[in-house]
Amino acid sequence: MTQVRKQLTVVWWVLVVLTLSSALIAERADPNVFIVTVICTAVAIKGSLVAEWLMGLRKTAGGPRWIILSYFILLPLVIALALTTLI
Amino acid sequence: MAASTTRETPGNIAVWILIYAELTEFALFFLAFLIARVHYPEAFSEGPLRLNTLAGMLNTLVLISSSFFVARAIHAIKAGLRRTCIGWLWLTLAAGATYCGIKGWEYYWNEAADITTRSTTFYAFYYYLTFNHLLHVLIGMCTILFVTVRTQWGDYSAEDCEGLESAASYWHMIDLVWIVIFPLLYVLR
Repeated sequence: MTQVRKQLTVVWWVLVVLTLSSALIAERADPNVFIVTVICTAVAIKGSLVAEWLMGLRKTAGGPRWIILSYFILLPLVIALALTTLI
Repeated sequence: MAASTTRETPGNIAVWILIYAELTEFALFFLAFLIARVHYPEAFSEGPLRLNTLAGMLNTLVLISSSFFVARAIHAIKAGLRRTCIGWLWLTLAAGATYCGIKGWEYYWNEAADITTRSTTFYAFYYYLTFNHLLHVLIGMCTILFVTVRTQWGDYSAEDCEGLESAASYWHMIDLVWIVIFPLLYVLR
């Protein structure tokens, strides 16, 4: 149980760092393909971390896990494609 | 071997149907947002620059933390630590209230900056998405309050906590949606 608590804390810190760094990058730099790709990748990682570790889907079998993970691959991909074609 | 590494999905089937419905609803909003962006590129490029990014970032940190708190609550009840679980649930509620407070400040700040639903198409989407999400946070808070009271009454245990897991899964869904909303509205331009 202590190990699970440690893992959850590490995941929380990773989420905080990803949020702060993606906001900082976007504030400091003009939008370009690289920035959009970095931010959309951060969205995909954050969504997967919340679903897998905080929601507790990583050890489950079947639909819910793959539906949520697919959501956080497809949606950032669509956003990245839509935005990069407009830049 | 497989049985030791796999377990049932947290929560009941009803909450997962609701989660899929909510995620689909928001995905359609996001697609509509991207289509509108093609038609009004200037409004969508300049819109985020006038928004209160600090409020958006603080709310992201608050929601991520609330997801962590509710995950700790689930682990506490599974370890048989009912009082610890209740503590984490109250922290989740405090995070939800903080989110609402920050959102209120942000809307007040917008009013002072003359940002309204009618300013541009971007701000119409901004208000529609953020207010809709705020309503989900309020519903989530009511749900978490309900399971907190039930946990205090001793209705959940390490062996039987499906209701608590369902409420937690719904709360995580609210966080998942905000993870997309924050960059889409505040960061990417």
